[in-house]
Amino acid sequence: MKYMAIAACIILGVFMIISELKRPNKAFLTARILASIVAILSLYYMLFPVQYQADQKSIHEINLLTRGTAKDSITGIKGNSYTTEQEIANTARSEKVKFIADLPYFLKSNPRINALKVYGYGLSKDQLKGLDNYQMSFHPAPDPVGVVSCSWNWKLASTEKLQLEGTYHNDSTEPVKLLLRGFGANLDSVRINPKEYSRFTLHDQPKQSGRAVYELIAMRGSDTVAREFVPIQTSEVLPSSVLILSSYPDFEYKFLKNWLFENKFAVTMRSRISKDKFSTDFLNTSKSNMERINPAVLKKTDLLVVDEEELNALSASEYNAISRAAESGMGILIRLGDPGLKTKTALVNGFSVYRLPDEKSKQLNMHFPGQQPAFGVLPIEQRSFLKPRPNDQMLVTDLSGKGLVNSHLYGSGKVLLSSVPATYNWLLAGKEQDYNRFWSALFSKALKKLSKTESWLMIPAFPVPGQKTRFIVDQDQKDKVPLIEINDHRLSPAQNIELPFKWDAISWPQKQGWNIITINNKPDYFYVYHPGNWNAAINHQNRKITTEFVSNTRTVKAGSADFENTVSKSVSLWWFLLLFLCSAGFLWYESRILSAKF
Amino acid sequence: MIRSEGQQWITDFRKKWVTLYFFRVLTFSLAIALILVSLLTYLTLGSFWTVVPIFLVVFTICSFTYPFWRINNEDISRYLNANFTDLQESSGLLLKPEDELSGLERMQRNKVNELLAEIKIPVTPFKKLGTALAALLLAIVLSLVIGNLHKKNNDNKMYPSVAAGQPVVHERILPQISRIAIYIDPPAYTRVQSRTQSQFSVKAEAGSSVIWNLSTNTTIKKINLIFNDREIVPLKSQNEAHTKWKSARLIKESGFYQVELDGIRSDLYQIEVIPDLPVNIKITSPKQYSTIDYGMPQRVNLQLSLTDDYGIKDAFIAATMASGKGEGVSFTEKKISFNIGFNNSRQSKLSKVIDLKLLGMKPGDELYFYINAQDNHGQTSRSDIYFVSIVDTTELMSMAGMSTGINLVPEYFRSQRQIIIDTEKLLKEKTSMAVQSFKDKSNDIGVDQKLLRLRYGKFLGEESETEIGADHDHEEAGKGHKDEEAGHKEEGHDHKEEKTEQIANVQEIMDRYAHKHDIAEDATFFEPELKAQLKAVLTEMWSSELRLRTYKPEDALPFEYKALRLLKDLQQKSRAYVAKTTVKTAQLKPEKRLSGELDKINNPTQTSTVEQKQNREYYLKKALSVLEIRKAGNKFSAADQLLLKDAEKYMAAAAAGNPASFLTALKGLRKVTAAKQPDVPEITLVQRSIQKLMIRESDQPKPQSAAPASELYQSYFNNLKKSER
Repeated sequence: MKYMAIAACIILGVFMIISELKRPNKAFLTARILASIVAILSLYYMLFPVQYQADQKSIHEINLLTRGTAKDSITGIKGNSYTTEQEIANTARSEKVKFIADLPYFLKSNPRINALKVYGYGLSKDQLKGLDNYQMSFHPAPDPVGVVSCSWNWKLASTEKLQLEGTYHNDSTEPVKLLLRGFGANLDSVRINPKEYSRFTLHDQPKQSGRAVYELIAMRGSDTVAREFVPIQTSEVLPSSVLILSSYPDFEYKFLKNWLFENKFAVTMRSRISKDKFSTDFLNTSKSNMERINPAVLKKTDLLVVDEEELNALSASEYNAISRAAESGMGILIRLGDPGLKTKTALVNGFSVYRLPDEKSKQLNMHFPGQQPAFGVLPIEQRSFLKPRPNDQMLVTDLSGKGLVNSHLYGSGKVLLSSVPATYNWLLAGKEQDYNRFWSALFSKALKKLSKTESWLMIPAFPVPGQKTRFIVDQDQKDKVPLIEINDHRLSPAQNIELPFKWDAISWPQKQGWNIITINNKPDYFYVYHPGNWNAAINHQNRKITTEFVSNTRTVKAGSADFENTVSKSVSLWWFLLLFLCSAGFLWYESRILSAKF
Repeated sequence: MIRSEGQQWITDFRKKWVTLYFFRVLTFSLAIALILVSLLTYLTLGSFWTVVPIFLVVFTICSFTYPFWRINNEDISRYLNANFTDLQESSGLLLKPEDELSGLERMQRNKVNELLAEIKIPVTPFKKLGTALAALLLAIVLSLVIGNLHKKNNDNKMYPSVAAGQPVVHERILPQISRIAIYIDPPAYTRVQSRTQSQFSVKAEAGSSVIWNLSTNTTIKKINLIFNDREIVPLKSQNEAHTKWKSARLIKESGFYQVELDGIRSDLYQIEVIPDLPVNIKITSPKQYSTIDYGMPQRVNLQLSLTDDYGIKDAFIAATMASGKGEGVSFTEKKISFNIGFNNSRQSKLSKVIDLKLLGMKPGDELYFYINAQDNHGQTSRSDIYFVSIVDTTELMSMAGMSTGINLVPEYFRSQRQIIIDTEKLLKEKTSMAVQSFKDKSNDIGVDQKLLRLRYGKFLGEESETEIGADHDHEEAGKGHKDEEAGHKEEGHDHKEEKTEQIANVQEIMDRYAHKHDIAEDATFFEPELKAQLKAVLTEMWSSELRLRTYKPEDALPFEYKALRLLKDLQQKSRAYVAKTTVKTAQLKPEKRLSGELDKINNPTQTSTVEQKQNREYYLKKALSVLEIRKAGNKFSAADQLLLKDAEKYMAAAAAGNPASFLTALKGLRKVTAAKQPDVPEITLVQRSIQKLMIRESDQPKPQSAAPASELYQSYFNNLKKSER
């Protein structure tokens, strides 16, 4: 644009000079040429004003009082004080603290302000976004007392455990008791020692199906110090389908089959009873021909349980179908066979198995690594163990750490190898909990992942009514605009430039409590908190972010101190207009009057 | 000394006075005591029977302050002088001895004597007694008033609202009901008094008849009582105006009920039943299994205690005697009574000596008995079965067990038996024997006993003694060895006798020179239990040996028997018996065997589907969530209402069984379902109870979820896979 203008001006100038030179009247030639050039230049500068760097002499600084500024400290702050909090503005009216409704707007409309002194807990990430060019200093309030950070798995499958983890800042000399309360009952509790930042973990298995709001209550003696909401949501799990191929009928399979049957799994179990003769059970599923394992059968299968002998006995085409199904997501659980087996399939060879010559103990003590409690003792003389390889995840070990169930990724599916020969002894010994826990964990790991058609993310994670909330929706179709509704109010999403399947929508949810988000007509829920909720956590977070932000901007600005104090200014356009008028006027006057004289 | 008339008069008068004074003090103290006691009982500090000690104390205090016994004739004369001017201060003269008086005094005295005869007996003491009696009367009236007050107070506490032992419940009552009187009449056998209360919540003994008397302030057409949400019992109108209603019902189990007035249902009220438990029997002696050994008295000392909540009616011992053995066992049953009346007492400690001989039991017989007790409601309970057995010495001596089965250590048993036989023989011949030879014989048997003990001691790893009879020991051991050898030969092993003998000899020679301490193998050969029993055998043998060596074979005999019995038990322990059974197998088809043809074999298939029934847990889970959402102010949908109805059903079932825990929650659930505005505390209470109803679900497998599979992710994954290859 600029260059086009320059070119146009040059052409115009050249044309004018030439026409001046060609003019028969040569009087005032130099003056006329000069006037033409001045007129063209001023015309150009009217389009593109002249800018210059000027040193800024004064620093225009304001005090920004944020949440947590102690009331008595406000009087000690010199200079102009502003606040983003209505509450502070109300309480400190006498101190002439002015209220800012919208910080970015205020700063834009007061460009002279170039330095901010922030008091209190600081600003949120969103508020800090536009403050890169300001000289900032932070005078933080003491770290808030209470639950300063907390997170939990708020979307649960039924029977899944709720695990709530966080940090509590206790600055008093008395211990604090944290209680997890749900449905009027105390579900779990933990003690926080005095004068300590302590991490805590609380557990519960929620009993409801649907939405609920638990409470995290901090008690000092009999006083309630804090009461925070913990919204959770549980949903029923749709039973998966399992295919069991066994080379021989045994108790382990029988009990596993029954267990799956009772848990409403669709189970197809094929046991080899003679050469090419199979006994087949169809539980919670329809009958089909199972003599040959083909891709069609495997496509419906979420998990294949097979023993090594049967894996060897399968034909090559069947084996290939299985490994291809695993690559596209199906899970495989292989039971390690007799150590005397000569041929090993590739699926088993992916793991490393070793045998101890003689195990003294005739009992097997297993546990999930890093998890309490250990399982009940099994009366098994275990000699085959698994060694983890670089990409393996060991799921079950014995108490001394020798591997028993190993797993690794196989394509987009998972392969598990178990060297535990029998677990049904738990059921016989009445330890049903152990059996459930063991197989639930293994199956949860191995089952084909449920692929959703859309998922969503909310920023911030703890919205309050009226807060700007961003919803980032992910869907499997890239070209379709997702239909996003918040409480039956349709949003207009924007497509992500780089990732076409990601969509962005912004809303200001008004209702405190559960809100509905509907994506492509599939309803889901999110919780909008009461403004007084999780304040300690939010303040702690703001304090941390602001501190980091201030220390980062300091280091950048330190090297370019002069830049900090210079401001680019433009020369007023009136000057150029005047110049243009003068030169143009001269040209006109000369051609009409002066030349007429001569 | 002859007393004058006047003197006599004064003495009589004093007697009268003292008596009256005594009665006055008595009456006063009685009055004070009465008032005190009634005050005390009013303050519930004492019962009415404390009146006796309190009276005694008060009387003693009063008598010491007014010592009536100290009144003497001088006091009387002073009194007379003061009250009767006619006597001219001269009644004292009457008391003086006549010979000490002057003439004038004598004259005066005669005059007084005459005057006294004319004087009317003074009324003052009677008057005073009268005031005392009046005080007593007043005290009686007062105490009656206080007593009445007390009773009323008590009635206030006990009667109108709640019966004894029942918690006061805050109830919401329909406004139409003006008066409630619920009469609870427990069954007679409980001997609990019937009572009336004006509270709907009922706590009554099982089987009580409960009568509801309701008065209403307006005319009501119909009143029903609805029990446990199922059973409707109508009340009958008692008057024309239809304001007094009555109904009765026998209460047998806990639950709840509500009152329905012309279709308006009241709150739920609890019915709690105090159950009548059967008699609790506790036997302190004997132990469950006891054995009576030889020489011990053949009787059982039975001690037990019985307790019941209302009263024990009867108890007896049901005894069964088993005699004989093998197939010839016969049983006799007998009922032994305790021979005492129980009088419906709540607790009873009993003891009874059962003489086994009187029951006709012989050695070898066994007694099984249990206690059967009946309470006054006719509920019977019985104790565990207890066993007493008398050891049969002849059985121990028999060889029956030896000849069959595997014989581990036969000669040892024979030896113990031999010792017993020898001892008995010695005792029989004692009279016809010289003392010295008796002693020698006894000592010999003692030595035998010792040897036997040492031999068993070896099994326990005890060091063998060598000084006494060591050779004998070896000799016998050798003999045993030889016997064994012979056994081997019989079984057909091809041994050469001379050679084995030689080896045995070498062993023998080696043993002779080697001082063998405990042999490890011997010590670890037996199980600990077996060892303990062996030790017990050795102890008995020790005792027996001690008696034999101190020439008291008759004392040794019981120990010998006991040792033998224990040995017998040991022997029995190492035996097992397997009965012979017959097996029937299907007939084989030889033409089909080993052909390897499978073409006619079908692939068996089985199908089954789990019932997709929505169970109780499902409804309760959903209800929890629905209530949770209600807290936020959302209204119940029609589906939610249905769900809550289901939950209510389960809650009502739980409340009928356990009203104390679930009735308030059931009330709350109904309130919450009907309420227009959510009542958060009430909902929380209901949720807590629902949570209590639910059982912890066991873990279920749940697949992990993956992000939406967009094409970009898929191709990225495929490229990664390609590059891996």
